[in-house]
Amino acid sequence: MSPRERTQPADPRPAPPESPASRRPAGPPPDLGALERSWGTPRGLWGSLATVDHKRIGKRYIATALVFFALGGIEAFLIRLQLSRPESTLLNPDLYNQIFTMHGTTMMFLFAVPVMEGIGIYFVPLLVGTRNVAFPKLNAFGYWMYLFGGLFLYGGFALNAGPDAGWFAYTPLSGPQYSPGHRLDIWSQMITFTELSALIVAIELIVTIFKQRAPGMSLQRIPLFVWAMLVTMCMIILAMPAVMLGSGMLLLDRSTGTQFFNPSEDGDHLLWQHLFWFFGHPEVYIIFIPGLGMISAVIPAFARRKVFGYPAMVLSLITTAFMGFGLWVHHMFAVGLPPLGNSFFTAASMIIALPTGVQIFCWIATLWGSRPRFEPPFAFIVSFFVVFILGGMTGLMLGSTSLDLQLHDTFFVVAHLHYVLIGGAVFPLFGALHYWFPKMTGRTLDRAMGFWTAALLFVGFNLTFFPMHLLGLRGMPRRVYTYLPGTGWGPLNALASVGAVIIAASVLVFLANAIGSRKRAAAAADPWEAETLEWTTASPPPSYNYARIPVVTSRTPGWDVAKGDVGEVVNMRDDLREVLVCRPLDGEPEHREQLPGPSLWPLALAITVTISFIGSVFSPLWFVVGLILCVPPIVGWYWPEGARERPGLEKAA
Amino acid sequence: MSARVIDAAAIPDEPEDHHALVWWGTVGMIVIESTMFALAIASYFYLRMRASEWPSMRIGPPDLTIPTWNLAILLVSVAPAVWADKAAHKNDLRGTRWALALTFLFGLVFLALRVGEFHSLHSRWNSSAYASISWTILGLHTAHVAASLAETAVILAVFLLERVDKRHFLDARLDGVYWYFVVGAWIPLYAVVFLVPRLR
Repeated sequence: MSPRERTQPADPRPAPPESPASRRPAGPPPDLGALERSWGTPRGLWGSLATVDHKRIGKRYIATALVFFALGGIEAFLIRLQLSRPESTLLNPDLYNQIFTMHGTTMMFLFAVPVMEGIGIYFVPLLVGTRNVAFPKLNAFGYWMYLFGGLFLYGGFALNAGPDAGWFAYTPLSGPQYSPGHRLDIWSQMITFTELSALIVAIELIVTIFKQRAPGMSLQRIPLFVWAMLVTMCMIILAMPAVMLGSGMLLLDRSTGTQFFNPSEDGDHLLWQHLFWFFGHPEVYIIFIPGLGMISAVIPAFARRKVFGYPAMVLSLITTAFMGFGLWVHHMFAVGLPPLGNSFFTAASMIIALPTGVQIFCWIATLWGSRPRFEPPFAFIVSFFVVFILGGMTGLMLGSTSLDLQLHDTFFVVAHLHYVLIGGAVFPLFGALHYWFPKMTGRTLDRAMGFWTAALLFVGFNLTFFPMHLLGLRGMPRRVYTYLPGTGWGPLNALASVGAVIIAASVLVFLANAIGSRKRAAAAADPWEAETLEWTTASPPPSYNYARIPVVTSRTPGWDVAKGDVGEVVNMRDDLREVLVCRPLDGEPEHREQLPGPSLWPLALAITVTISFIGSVFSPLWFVVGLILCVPPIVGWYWPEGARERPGLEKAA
Repeated sequence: MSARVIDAAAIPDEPEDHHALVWWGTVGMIVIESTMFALAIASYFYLRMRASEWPSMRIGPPDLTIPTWNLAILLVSVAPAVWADKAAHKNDLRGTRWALALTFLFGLVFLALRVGEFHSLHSRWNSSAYASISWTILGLHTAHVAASLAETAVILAVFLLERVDKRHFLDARLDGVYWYFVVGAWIPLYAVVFLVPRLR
């Protein structure tokens, strides 16, 4: 092969149009009025029900998830109140079972995953420089499914039909024999709602990230937060089907008498555990990896420099995701699997500390010798380091079979999982909320109140959960509704309950801060002088996100714009909902595509699917009836609208 | 690097089939559903591994006649799907209409014979874990066939009743692609449900 051939490899893909690379005078200025007419959401009730704007839907996800966070927090508070002294009679055992199950279920399925999805839906299109997610109507449908699933669960709880078998609903306790009534049916069907919604978000964010990045944003220029969301969404695609299949089997066992989990007819309880944890362990990373992305978004803005070791960071995210699927059995060390299997999963549980360690060292290297501006978002990130590393340490302890057998089902596990999940996800989330609040609302948060939120959360959190390590080591089991005075567990439990009060105070300060922001000054477009694209547009962003789609030439486009050094796409149609679609690897423009506008069909379809899902709890017949009811909305969703210049292209899922 | 300006007017405003967003969305959906099928197969073998008899002597292995004929029908149905795919790719309106209609008919025949496949198992879903997982795999696949048929019906209706443009041809192609998946998925599932019980 001659050198000439080597330097110009044959490229089977269509070459990008000739003109883009050349520098030419800017085209006509964008008509902002026309853009707003094309991309805006109509006012009034119709507009708010029919909207397909990713920013409105993202905010709805975040707001709804925070409401569920508050509800789950109230349940946690009741648990702490009940356990604050021995032989408490505040809650009876049955209500206690419902409340701890609701707490876990709410926090995992209705808060942690959806809030991360909401932030992804809001910020991924902004960070990659496009105008909406790839499938806007599907996005709206996903939100309604999530909302209806959450309401269904809480509706059941209000009618004394809250699930009471723990958030992982082990059979046989959750099976037809030991849990008659509809409590666990409602739980299983809530899974179907929320996981369907998660899968929808996964598809649309993956396609948005692959295909709708601003021109020039090649793979090695994708912001780390977007990488984290991409990895998370790929994990959702592989993990969520497991729990949907499992909860479907559970529902069938309970309603139609199938025998999946009945050992007397060749069924097996461990099948449930395998299916649940094949989802459940990746779930931890589905919650935690967006948190890592948030940290990578916040740290460079405050350290005033690029993240150290970008390729190592990206590879660590991907490695974590792969390994996350090879750990599930470490939740099942106590069920009597072959020792060789246990050893394998012990080793895997140890190894996954490596990629996380790489990221933590990269952040430390980023901060090393920099003079970070100490603002509230940064305070949460510093807290993350302390809390999460402690959680990681206890994780190594629990990953070892021998120690796990001692600590299994004790409060040590409760302490560990809260250190990991609150440390790994809630601290970064609050950091991200303080960081992005000005962008989302156009208002500023009070600095002092922000620091108070962080300090109270840090102190309250450690006061609540650190004593649980000791309680676990002293043998206090999980999920007991009370204990005897002679156990000596009283004082540490009382201390933990005091911590819960402080956490509640922290959340209230945050709430007051958010409400008070309405009276404060409007936020600047770029209050933190950060390096990603979203800070180059107004706060809050207009319906079309960017007057002109930016052209990216480095990993830090926000800083390029600040220096006046960033290109733009000119001559995009501003009278249509047109987005630029680029090649997935090098981010060169490929074609323009039109996205659909506001529509009521997603809501209509969500209602009919809800009828089908809720009805099937009571009779399988309803499932069929509901599916037949789904036909008109699907047809309406897909049917071309004659008046439009070109009909929408989105298909029903 | 210096700032770049890109002129959108030089970029085509129609997607070229597999570059379209909806193509990627369909691929994503196929990945999700493949995961679901793979997990169902894993559950099948897990239950089989733990059972003493699979299926019990009382039930015996399933009949093969109807399932095998139906497998053949499904495999033949790929032909009209390929036709739909190719015709839609050439923006051939008449050809696409006929091919979609033919694919739909094949699907209907397959669904009708599916009833016989359930009977071939010789046991109701609630009789044992073997029956439960076999019914579930058959049911999952039936749901996919039905969903794909519904999709074909809606697209066919649009092609018969409305003014169609390039995007609808792309949807017709994707409908064909999704049908390939439904057919392709059935080959291992058929082997699991109908052949594995005969293994000793």
